[in-house]
Amino acid sequence: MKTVRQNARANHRRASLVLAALLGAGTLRAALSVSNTSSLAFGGIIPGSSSGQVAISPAGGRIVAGGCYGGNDATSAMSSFTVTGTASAAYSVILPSTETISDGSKSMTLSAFTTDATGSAVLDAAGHGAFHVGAALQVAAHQPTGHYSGTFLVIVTTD
Amino acid sequence: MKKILGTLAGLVLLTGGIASAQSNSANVDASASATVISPIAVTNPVGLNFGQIVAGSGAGTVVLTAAGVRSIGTGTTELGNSGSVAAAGFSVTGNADSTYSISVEAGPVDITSGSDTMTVGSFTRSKTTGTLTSGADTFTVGGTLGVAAAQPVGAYSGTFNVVVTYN
Repeated sequence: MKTVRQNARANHRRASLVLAALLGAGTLRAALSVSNTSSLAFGGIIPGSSSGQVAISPAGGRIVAGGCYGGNDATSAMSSFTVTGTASAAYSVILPSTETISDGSKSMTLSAFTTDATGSAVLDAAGHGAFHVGAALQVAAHQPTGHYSGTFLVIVTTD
Repeated sequence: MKKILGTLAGLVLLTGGIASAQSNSANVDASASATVISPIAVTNPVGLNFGQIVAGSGAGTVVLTAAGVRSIGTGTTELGNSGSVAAAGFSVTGNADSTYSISVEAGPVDITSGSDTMTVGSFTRSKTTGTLTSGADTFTVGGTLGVAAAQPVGAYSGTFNVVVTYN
């Protein structure tokens, strides 16, 4: 009985040490955060008699295809993000498959989200990173005029 | 023995808690926007009209400014009745407060009276860009008429292309 109790005490001490080490390791990892520093904007769009698409690339280029026309391009832009976390950590960006932007009861669909944070995206030595996101907007035939807006969820993960 | 197991179980639970706090994931709701504007349209309520011209013994030109002022350019052509002289007038409608660009084809284009032709070219615009204040705007276009020596009499007409585009 005596021996067992001693072993228990010894184990307890060892456990406390391991726990301390784990907690210590935990505090060394900086919390990961992501913020959206500029909005995804498609600029002015003129609907046509058939449907079309307006795509913004992660580099900010705008491509108008199908039955719609590009209006004012000056306000179009890709979406920009900054990431902070553990120095030199690799990170991945998860984007939605579709999302909706709306103006009252009128809506348009966003799809084909793309990012320049590729498989090799890594935070710098200071734990900072930046990436951009583009998407394609579906414009219906005779899409009603309006200022459409909405949000899309961007998730950043590290291993 | 029970105490040992209890301690180990506690340890596992604690490390499990730390592990989930460390599973590094962050998310943000990013914003997206687009503006759908009404199509731009242009109509031509007033035609480009050089009025009456009297052909001379040699070729000549008649210039009509975008402001509607007619004058002899070159040659022996003479001006007749100016009552119907007018620069071409255009009416543009579209998205309020948007700006647009005006382009006119280079020409010259033919205007005809039966099988007889004259040319109109060197088109000039009253402005190269405009603003659709309250969704509407207007502009005018002038040009230069080429008249041949002893140009046959007749009422000549034709068309030229004008394009307006949102900036």
